[in-house]
Amino acid sequence: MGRKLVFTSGKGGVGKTTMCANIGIALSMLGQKVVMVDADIGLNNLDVVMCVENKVAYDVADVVEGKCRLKQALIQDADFPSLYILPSFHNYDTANITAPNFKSIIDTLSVGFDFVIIDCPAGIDSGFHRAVAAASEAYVVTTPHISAVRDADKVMALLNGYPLLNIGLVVNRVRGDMVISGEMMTAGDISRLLRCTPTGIIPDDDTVTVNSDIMRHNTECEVKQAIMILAENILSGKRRIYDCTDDYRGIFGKLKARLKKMF
Amino acid sequence: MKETKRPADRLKKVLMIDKLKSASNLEELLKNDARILLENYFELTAGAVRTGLNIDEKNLINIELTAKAANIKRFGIILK
Ligand SMILES: Nc1ncnc2c1ncn2[C@@H]1O[C@H](COP(=O)(O)OP(=O)(O)O)[C@@H](O)[C@H]1O
Ligand SMILES: [Mg+2]
Repeated sequence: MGRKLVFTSGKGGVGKTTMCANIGIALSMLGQKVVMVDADIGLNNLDVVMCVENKVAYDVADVVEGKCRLKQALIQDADFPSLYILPSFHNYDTANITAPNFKSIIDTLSVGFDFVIIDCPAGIDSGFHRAVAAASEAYVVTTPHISAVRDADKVMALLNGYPLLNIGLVVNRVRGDMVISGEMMTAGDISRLLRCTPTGIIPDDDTVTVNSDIMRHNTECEVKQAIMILAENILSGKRRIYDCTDDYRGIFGKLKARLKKMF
Repeated sequence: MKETKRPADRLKKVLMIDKLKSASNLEELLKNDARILLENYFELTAGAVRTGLNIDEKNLINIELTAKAANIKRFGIILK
């Protein structure tokens, strides 16, 4: 049985979909067989981030309704043959996609894959429940902003009610220059207040704005290193952490921080 | 002008207040218990018991319960 990971946050726009996509790619680069499932039904984006929106023939709703077999709905990634996507494309009634239905799809997938990665919708209503109830591990994604961490705290309290093997924390969009100047909370502050050690810390990086599926691209950047470390931590249980402030220390670092402020 | 707080201190206060007002309703429990307890000793005015939460300059949390009393009760007798 493969591991079933859900990426959740409460708050929208903190990087759940970005994390799912890139950690999925990273894990398949590490030799794992991975399937990503879009549980953000109606406001799906995983297909776009993974650049498969024009390859969608069937989606998770079709599987539930018996319009196709599960295998037919899976889309193989163009670059990584051990990576698949189960999209949720249709913007219609999700009444049929009940939590038990969804869980049974995830359980079936976990037989054939090392990792099933579930992209959870924002909010804490039925869509959240459907996604989390199907998972065996949860990773709460937050940014170092008060409203995002506050929502993460509430989500963590809710997650305690599910029989999960592990609850991890990913602090995304950390600005090393702002951490050093004291304007942004450190990941240490956040983990102390949430009483949870982060599994990964990911820097804010403009390359993600250009390419959401950054792990696939050949550019050297901070965020790729950080995501790879996070994926290795997930895979092996290690606790290595990427230091987002490293680039902004020393004389050149201070100069870089200045320049970042100016532009 | 408002003084800018360290973001972590600000978050700490937000999370504390959330805990006080969380689904387990700690705030209501505290208020009700305090009222029952205090009513044995004081003649409370009509206003409800209020709660407050602050972080002091030493970064310690003050949890305050405020009630207004008009008189002292003693052995069931109100001293006027
Ligand atoms: N580390 C990062 N650096 C810069 N931009 C990021 C980072 N992570 C996410 N983003 C951007 O934030 C936006 C929201 O991300 P998304 O993954 O769609 O959030 P969610 O799925 O939680 O709603 C996207 O435009 C994405 O490119
Ligand atoms: Mg999303």
